Amino acid sequence: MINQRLDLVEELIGNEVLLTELGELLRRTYDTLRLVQKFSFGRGDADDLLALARTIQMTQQIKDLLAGFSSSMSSQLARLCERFHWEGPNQVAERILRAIDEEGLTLQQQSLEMNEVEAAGLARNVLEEQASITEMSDLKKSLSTKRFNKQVEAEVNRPTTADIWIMRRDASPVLKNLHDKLTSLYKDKQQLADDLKAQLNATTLTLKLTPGLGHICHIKGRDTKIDLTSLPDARTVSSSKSTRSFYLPTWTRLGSQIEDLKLRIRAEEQFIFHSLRDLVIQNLVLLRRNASILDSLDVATSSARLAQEFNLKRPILNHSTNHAIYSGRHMTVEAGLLSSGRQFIPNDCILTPTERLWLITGPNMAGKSTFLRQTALISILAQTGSFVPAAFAELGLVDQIFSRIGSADNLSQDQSTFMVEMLETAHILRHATSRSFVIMDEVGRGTTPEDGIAVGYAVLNHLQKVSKCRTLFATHFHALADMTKRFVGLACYCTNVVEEGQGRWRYDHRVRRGVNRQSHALKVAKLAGMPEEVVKTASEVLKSLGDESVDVEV
Amino acid sequence: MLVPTKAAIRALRNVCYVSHGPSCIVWASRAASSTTEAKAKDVTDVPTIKRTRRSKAKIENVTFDTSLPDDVNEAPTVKRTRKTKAKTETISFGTLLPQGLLSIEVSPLEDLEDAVTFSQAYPTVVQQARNNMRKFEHCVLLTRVGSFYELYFEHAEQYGPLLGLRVGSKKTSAGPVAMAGFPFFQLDRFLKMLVQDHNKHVAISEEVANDPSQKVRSGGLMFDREVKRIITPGTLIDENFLSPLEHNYLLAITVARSNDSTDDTGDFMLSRVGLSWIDLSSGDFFTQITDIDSLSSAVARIGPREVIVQQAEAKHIVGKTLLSILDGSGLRPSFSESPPAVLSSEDWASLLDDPSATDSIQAFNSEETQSANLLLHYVKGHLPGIKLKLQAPVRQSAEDYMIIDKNSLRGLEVTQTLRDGVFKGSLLQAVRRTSTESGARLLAQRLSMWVDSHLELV
Repeated sequence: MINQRLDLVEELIGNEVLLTELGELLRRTYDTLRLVQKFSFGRGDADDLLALARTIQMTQQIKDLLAGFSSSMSSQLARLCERFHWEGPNQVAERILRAIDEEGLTLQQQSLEMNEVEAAGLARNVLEEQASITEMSDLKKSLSTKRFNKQVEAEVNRPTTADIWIMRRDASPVLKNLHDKLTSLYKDKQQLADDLKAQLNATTLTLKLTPGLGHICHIKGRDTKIDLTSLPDARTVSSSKSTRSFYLPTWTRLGSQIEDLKLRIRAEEQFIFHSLRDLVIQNLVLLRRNASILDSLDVATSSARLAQEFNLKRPILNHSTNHAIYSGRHMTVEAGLLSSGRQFIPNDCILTPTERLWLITGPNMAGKSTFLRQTALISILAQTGSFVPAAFAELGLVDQIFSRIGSADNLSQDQSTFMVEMLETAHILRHATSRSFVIMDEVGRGTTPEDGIAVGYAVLNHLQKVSKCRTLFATHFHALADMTKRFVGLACYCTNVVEEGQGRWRYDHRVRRGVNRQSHALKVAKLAGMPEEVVKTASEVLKSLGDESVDVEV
Repeated sequence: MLVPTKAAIRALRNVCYVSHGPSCIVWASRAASSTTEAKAKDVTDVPTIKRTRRSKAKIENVTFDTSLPDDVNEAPTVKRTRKTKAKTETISFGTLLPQGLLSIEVSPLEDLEDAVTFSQAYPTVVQQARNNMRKFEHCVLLTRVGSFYELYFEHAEQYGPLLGLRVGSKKTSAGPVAMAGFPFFQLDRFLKMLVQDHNKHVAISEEVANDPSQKVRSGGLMFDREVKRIITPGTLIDENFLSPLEHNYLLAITVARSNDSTDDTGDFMLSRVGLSWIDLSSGDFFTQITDIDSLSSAVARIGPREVIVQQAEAKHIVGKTLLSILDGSGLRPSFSESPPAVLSSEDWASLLDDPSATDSIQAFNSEETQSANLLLHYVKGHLPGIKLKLQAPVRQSAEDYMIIDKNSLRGLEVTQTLRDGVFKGSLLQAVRRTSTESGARLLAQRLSMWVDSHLELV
């Protein structure tokens, strides 16, 4: 698994062009898994269908792209290509694209949005009114019918709302038929309007459909006064100074035919929509598989890009319990340092059966915690199939990663009490196997130094003799180094502080062999701005307690 | 009650067209094919129509039947219908659509003011809401009324202010009823507040158009209402506020009860626990066994939005430990009643998109199948009437993956920083260079849940 993923990443790294183009194509796909899931629940609309169709087309393009490149490589890419499924999904895409009219869909969306905006506006009015009204009757009175009717009328006669079709005319033979009939009915309507205009000599005549009155003929302006006696069937509905409406049976009949036909068209569109949806559901399994292949490709391109950006190298993984990392780095910390113009000091970490447990001492902020973390992170990254921030890394597979890096210094809420430490440590000791990897930072804090050292020793003993796993154990208790001198497989390393004369000093972030018996706490205190007298008193106390100078064994 | 505006109705209808299909077309058709007999009526006429109808012999519509003051105890609606049919032949519901919806909301109230006695204390909509609130008592109930969603009774009082809604009061003959609502197109916004921010379960009672016989039976109401969906943090499907870059897992936990008598003796920490989790929005479905001891790490790795536990668990000591572990992870479980029966292979075959995968499921451990049962039972209960077509569950076992324990996930800042618990600054952010959203999800999974421990394809 892992090696195959690493192979894939390697192939992609070598090929800048492929990487960029692949990224482009992937970016243009839609979230198939979620789309497909929507359909399986019976949700999903025409837009989703289109998105699915486009994605299927993109997948085809991706496959062609990969096929073009992988002929030159043995290739994970080729194998990936083979896993794509074609027939079913392609069929789905084709049918969808043939049936759905994208322009119509966009128009419909626009009109929907306009309606929503209107509805929002009107609703806001209602709510505002409601704010001052609690009685139902008052509310009724505040909304007058005439205003509503006019607004609705305006919408009905707006050609876009009524006549937007989302399917193409020829999506199915039935639909084509219906559309042809509709076209001819519209012609008839036009003909009727023209005839009437000629007959009555009224140029402002329009044939309308209103929700309140139904199909009416509407005249306005100067033609209002014309004589309707030439039309014996006409029945006047309303007349005012500027407008006049009347019913005409021919128009009524034609109008209702048109409306019926429109309904049937809509019904047919729904039918087609449902059959498309069913087709998608039939191909669910294949579509999902294709989607997961695309996902793997995406993650691989992500790893490839990352490797280029951070100069990562391919790790070598094996079944041993050794760890060999040369010049390992912590990616996020390094990025942070670089942005402020500083350098990250890489470190080696080599764990073998003779040096399986590293006891690391040294002053705070000299990089102990970072070192611990970067080693764990490198293992995690390697096993996800990504390249790692190291010049060289050969890692034994890890079955579990444990850490006791309480980081009370970072947690504002969860002050790491001794109890919590013990809980975490207990968990580790009970579950670690010889294939595990453990990092521990400052076990034994939060209690007296004697108890801390005792617990620390006991834990080291257990890890060494019983768990037998790879461990990085950082501590301030340098006494532990002496107490564990005779442990087999334990090695002491440390970080240090470098004096530069004239009271100036800096941290040496390199982890070297040895024991650092000075924590240089006073230096940190001074740096933190503790008052002079306090620091002076502390150093005197330290001398009286028998301070030993730095003892670094080479 | 808030009266929907005409334009809102029209907008509603168009929305319905896209998402609800034929049923709404029928409704739309009725509106569109207004017959010539229709006469415009003012809204203010509505209450008076009833009164005039009593005096006039000619009756135009069936909907106001409930206004009959006499013979109320018999079915007044039926009587009126028959009389109506003799006089006119129009079933002009459609003509009343613009006003019809208005008047529906009006008539029950008006009726109450007119009627001498009435079998219901509250108007139908409110009464249904009350019944639903009793039926789904751990949920917040939203009732669709026209183009608004309404909260009633205690829900309005409790959640109205929480959502920033004005709590009004509706007069009914049985007393005032607290009420708060918002327009339908703001549903997503309020759902997000309730479900994601306040971790509530929301039951949505949608309108279902009544066919003519139902209309008559219900006293002229155009719509009935049903709870079609209960929305919980773990059962989100395609809501707008669902983050596409993360999984939204629903986790079910069952504990094997090997020894019922020894409830309080030691090694219940080794009791086997079945885990089963699913992301309804993407279809990922996994199962795993673990033990109580490793449970908190497993839960941390999965990162569920909602956890389900059987109601009966709470009584046993193992169950209590389970609950305290969840509490320690900051998760409050939803309790579910036990599923009625174990799913047979036919049941599985009908649920999965690939029926051939049923065989692999037979190989699962009993704890895994139990938790899968619990999970599916819960899901079905919250999406009633929806036919599920899921991916077959993928079995995860400890041997296949590197397990990163809970403290390591946190301490190493794999998906979130320690200090702020945010994505920026975590390993995932540093590493993610994906081009698609589902690729991003896979990467997140690979980093936390699925770190491989196999070198080659097995």
